[in-house]
Amino acid sequence: MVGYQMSTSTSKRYNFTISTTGLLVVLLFWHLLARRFNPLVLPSPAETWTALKELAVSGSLFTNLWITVRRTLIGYGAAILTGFTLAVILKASSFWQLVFRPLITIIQTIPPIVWLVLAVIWFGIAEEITPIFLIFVVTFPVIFINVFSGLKSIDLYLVEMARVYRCTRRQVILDIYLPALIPHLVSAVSIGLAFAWKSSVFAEFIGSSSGIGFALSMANSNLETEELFAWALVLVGLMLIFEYLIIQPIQRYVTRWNRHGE
Amino acid sequence: MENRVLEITGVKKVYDSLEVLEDISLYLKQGEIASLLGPSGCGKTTLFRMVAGLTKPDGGKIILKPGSRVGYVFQEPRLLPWKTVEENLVFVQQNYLGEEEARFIREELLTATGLLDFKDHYPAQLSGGMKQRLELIRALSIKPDLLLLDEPFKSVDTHLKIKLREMILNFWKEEGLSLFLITHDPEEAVLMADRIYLLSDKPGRVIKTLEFNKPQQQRTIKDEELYSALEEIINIFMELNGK
Ligand SMILES: Nc1ncnc2c1ncn2[C@@H]1O[C@H](COP(=O)(O)OP(=O)(O)O)[C@@H](O)[C@H]1O
Ligand SMILES: [Mg+2]
Repeated sequence: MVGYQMSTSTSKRYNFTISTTGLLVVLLFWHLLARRFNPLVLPSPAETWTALKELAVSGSLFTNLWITVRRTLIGYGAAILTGFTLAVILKASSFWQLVFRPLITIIQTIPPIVWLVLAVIWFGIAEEITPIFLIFVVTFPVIFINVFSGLKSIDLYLVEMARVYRCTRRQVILDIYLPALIPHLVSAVSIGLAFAWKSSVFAEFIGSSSGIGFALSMANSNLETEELFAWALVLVGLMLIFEYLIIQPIQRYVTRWNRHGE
Repeated sequence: MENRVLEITGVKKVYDSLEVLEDISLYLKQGEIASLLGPSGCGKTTLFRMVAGLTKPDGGKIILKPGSRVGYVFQEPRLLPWKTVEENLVFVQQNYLGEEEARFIREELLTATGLLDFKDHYPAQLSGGMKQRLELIRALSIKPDLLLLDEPFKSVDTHLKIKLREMILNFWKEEGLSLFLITHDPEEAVLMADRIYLLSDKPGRVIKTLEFNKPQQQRTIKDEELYSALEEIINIFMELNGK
């Protein structure tokens, strides 16, 4: 057992080394490439870093960051709740499944740009509602589909076992359905999260007057390419933080029973 | 009727157009071991599922002694993967026993099967044999009056098979429960059962009933009476297959 743990931590360190080296190579390549171009076309890592510091000092960084994070949490939170609830209801009723299933497929196949144009027409520019709506409409089918397939994979033999031992509906839901479903929900949330960030920035870029997306569009029209790069860096950092510091630990926790020999 | 835990009369079962069981009649007296022995696909598991109330017969009657608790060791593993060894036991005990009594029985069973040190492990962390033992004590942990065992020794190596068999016989003797054992191994049936019901090919019917009086703990396969019963069973099955 000790040997097993040692080998995982060694391989973790090994993986980390590879990833970091890869990142450094990219950074070096970026640096070398930037020396041959005008900063307007390709700012260097150093110039990007300076722009980032300026954004932080001016307060623009945290104001816009918070606006985008808040919108994403609201829109995505609503999508998670709706997607989950709808999946459960549709699984339980073949009638509502027949009604809603094609609709969800349609919603999913419509390109985000169409939703965005519609949102701008319906809600106007400079509204909170436009980015929130886009996040919702793009991510809720992702949640729905993953939870729905999770529901389908629930082992009915276990439910039968519970019936033999006189378990109530409540016990079956709490001790079989939920624990079976939660890992699917968390992985759905992880898959949908990247869509959520992209939709919110996209919507802010075109249909809002605040947030990271809006700041990006301002930098773009002012030809401040290093600021554009700085914002892109912020977005990447944000996604990494959510994925590695929040989602993955939760994922490990909810699937802890699924790991062998620890 | 002398003290019967289970009485099955004229039971039949049809899936769509597939007749699985026809006119099954058998019984199980309190405290005895009966065995269902028959070719695979003849409806043995289906009969157990009806006894456990998971599916209804299409004819005939299944009568359990009122208030009987039924423990069921399923043919395929059905442990809750997200619950630890101990939590798996608590899950089935909760609707039968008070907390105090439940804990006492749990510890007793976990100790007897060598699983006490693993009570906080998840099923994925157990070996195949440990899982099998857990399945068994889960069924015992509700203090059942009737224990249904559906091929509990399949995919278990000989050594563990013998240990499990001994363990089951010990519990059976101490607790005075009734055992109903499905097997397709004639030797196992002859070693364990007070009464063997031989089933035909699908649709299953009882084609022969054999009774044994010798105490289980004294039986060996070299025993003359058991040996000739074994031969008889094998002959019957050979004849069935010949047709
Ligand atoms: N739910 C079901 N629906 C349709 N057919 C079934 C079902 N359960 C069992 N069967 C069929 O009934 C027959 C008997 O099955 P089973 O009772 O599992 O046999 P045994 O346990 O004796 O091997 C098999 O042919 C099987 O395919
Ligand atoms: Mg079977």
